[in-house]
Amino acid sequence: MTRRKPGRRSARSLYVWHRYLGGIAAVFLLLLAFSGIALNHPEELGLDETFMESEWLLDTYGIRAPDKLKAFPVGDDWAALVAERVYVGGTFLPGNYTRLAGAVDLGEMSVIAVDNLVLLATREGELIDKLDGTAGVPAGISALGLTADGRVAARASHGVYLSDRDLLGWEHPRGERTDIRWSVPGAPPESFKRKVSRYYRAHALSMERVLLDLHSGRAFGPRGPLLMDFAALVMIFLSLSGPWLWWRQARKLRRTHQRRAEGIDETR
Amino acid sequence: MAPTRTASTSELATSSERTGRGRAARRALVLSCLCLASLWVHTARAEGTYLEPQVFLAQSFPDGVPDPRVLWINRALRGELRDLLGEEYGALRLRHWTREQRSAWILEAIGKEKPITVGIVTGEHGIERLEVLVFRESRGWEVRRSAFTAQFRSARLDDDRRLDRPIDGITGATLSVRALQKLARMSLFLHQRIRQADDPA
Repeated sequence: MTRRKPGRRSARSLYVWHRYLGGIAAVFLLLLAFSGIALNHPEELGLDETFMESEWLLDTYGIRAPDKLKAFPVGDDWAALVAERVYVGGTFLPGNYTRLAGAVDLGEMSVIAVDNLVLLATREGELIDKLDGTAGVPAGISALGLTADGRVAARASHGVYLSDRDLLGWEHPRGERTDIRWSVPGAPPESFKRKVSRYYRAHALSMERVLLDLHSGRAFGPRGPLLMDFAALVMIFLSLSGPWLWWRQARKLRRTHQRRAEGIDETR
Repeated sequence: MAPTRTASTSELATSSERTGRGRAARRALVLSCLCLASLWVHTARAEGTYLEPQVFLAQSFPDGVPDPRVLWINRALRGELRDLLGEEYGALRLRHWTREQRSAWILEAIGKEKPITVGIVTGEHGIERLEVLVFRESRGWEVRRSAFTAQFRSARLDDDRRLDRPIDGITGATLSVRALQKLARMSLFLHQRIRQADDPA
């Protein structure tokens, strides 16, 4: 019975491990390579501006517009705060905000008070300007309203302020104004809520986010990163076992060549 | 009386080794805590308001901040800004504070994901001052350092509407650096525009 040397047995089993683990690692390596290349060029590929619309994917991520939203009527439209975004004119205004204090309609323009800012937007939802303290916006706005003569009023921490016509400055009114109609949050119709929900879901999940989750393993659940860690360990094993096996094979071939050369010499 | 046991040489050596190791371990612990604390401070300073816009304006106009003026971004200007920036500027009007030949601008551009608010003063000789006022990203905040922003001083636009000098980038802050470069070019371009409007001759 031929007995294999222990060294040869371990080399053979190492080779088998290298082969099978290599097959498994190939899948992860391709995933990492493709997602990695894409993530290296997010602007060129427009990854953060491309949004996923698959209902299945959005449901898997648990992306759902909030059921309750705070909204103010502006003309025949509504201005609503949805998951820190202001939705008006069929789109989100740029920026993230945590508080919607009021909104009024100036005909061609909506005036919306959020956090410590006043946003001016067209009826189509384009941002005209974002006013802060440099425009004299008073701190702590809790309500927005309109005077009888069409000036925007704000109830703030230090009293009531009136804006000028260009909304470039704010001042205390001379005397008490009793003609201010303060905006009041309302309940928008279901059709508006459905529109907001559709728009929210259609702009909530970027392709960049999905690729990042695939690349890190988070797309495979809470233990996904551990799976990627395991794949990384497998690749480390392969990168060490590969050269080792190559070296053993090369040494074996050298010895075979040497023996053959000696054998030929002896027969001469 | 029981004999007093004195420590052997080897015991003394072991004891002094242990004392030495203990001191080294304590030093390593203190050093680690200091490193972690500095890391926390470093991280804690990354996002935030570095300079209030009103303070920036007051510093830029020590004799009193002029009333703001409005520049409306019409369709033609919008197209020119889009060519200049490579993207839409997300507002339809811009406020500026102008006195004589100097203008102050408070502009925003997206770094990686969130806007960076920058204050820029432009004058006859190009950019006089550029300051990062509010930084909202978690990385790239190094652009607020005066050593970086000083590069923009006296910068002008060349014939291709690019800055007339290279701006050394910061590793790990490429997008923030790019955002500031865009805003610098934008402020100089707009400065030219309002100068032409104010003084057509």
